[in-house]
Amino acid sequence: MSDRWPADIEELLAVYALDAVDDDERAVVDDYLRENPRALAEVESYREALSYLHAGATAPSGLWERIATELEAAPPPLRLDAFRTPSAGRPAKRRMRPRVLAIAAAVIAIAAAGGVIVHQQREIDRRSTTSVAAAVEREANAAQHDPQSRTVVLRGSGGALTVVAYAEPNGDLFLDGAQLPGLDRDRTYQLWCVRDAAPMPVSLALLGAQPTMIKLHLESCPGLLAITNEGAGGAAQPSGDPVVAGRYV
Amino acid sequence: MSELTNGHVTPVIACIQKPLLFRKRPVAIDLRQSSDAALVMAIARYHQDALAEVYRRHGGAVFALANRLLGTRTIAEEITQEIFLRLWNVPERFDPERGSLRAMLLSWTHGKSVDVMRSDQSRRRREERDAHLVAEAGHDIENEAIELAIADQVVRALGDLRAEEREAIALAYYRGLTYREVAIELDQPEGTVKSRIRSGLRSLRASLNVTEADNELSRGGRP
Repeated sequence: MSDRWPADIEELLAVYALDAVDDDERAVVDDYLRENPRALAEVESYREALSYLHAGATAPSGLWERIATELEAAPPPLRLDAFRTPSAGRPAKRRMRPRVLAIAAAVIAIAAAGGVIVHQQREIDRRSTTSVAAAVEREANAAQHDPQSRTVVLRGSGGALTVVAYAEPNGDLFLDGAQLPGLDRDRTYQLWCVRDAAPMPVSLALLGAQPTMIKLHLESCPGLLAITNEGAGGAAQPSGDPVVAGRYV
Repeated sequence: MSELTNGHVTPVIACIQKPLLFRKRPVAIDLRQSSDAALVMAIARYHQDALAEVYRRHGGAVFALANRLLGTRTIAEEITQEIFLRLWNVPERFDPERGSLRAMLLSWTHGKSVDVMRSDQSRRRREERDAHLVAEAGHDIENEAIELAIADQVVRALGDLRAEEREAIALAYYRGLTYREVAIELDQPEGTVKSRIRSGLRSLRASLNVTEADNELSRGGRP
């Protein structure tokens, strides 16, 4: 952590907004802003004012076509290395984060898993004569026709693999895992919510080795949804890159 | 779907369709009427036309800033391309409650351009060019701003700044100097330079009444 006093850092906010600090100071201010929304708002307000200094210009012709070509050529980035490996030069306190995150992830995962299991048990109770799978299929079908549902498309890095999910306004998420290739019995697919490069397991109930339509409850995941291939018991942190990933906002 | 020619998108009606498996009816969206926030939501769903509309609105400003800072059209185009690809890849970085999309894009542009400027080779070229410019016109943020064709209101706001505030901001913002380098350039204490920049930005922010204007911006109303 920085040995600077907050007052010293506050004095840097304006020059930070102008990118007029050196790398060490930038790292100090970055850390400070993560924990200080008021200071972040101040920096954003300076940047907002500076944005008024640029207007009326026309983008160069032909540049959009180059950007569009890049979009076609480059599928969404799926590598999760950035959040598995703490960046070099971080303060000591930050180096603790992966471990803390893992513990927090495990706690959340257990809670989430409990929620899913309870939810599924209720489904079974309510539909004693119908299989849960069939009921989930029907609900998913209703969700796909619901104009208020949101579509979440998770794609593989090669672009060939696509998994579609539907998010209802109440947080129910229907994920069609049928497109995922089957895994060995000692493996399972696992769903993650990735925000600010930090993955949190959505559920330790996991998606199984041969998932079909799955119903989950996900209040929010303002970032990326990702599915990885893990050992059958699941993991508190991803052990590899995602099989598919997509934005969930 | 849209086509973009010479920086303009036509037509602007796009259809967001669910994948075939679940498709029932396409949702028609007039992108030109969409707020920046709505466009970013569409970008998060891999809606390329939404990115094209963001480019139409803000691509010129992004390029102009990079070009002004670097003085090299080729690199400015590369940076512009990188900025829009970044938005495509991490649209969740945009939080409409924290500021406008334009401010975020320009902040990314400035940060990236400054990184490039601070690399040795680029820096040498830029310093040679800036030395020439300074010899001709001195450091004047009003002149810089007029070059970028900004609104009268902004010119007036800049005019309200004290000369020493304008000078410190211009050196830091348009030449990519750190405040320490600005202090050396102006032969002033570092603390004085920090204070001038802070008071200047606060004055600029107050003159432009940033909060109210942001609402116009988020609807794509910026000239």
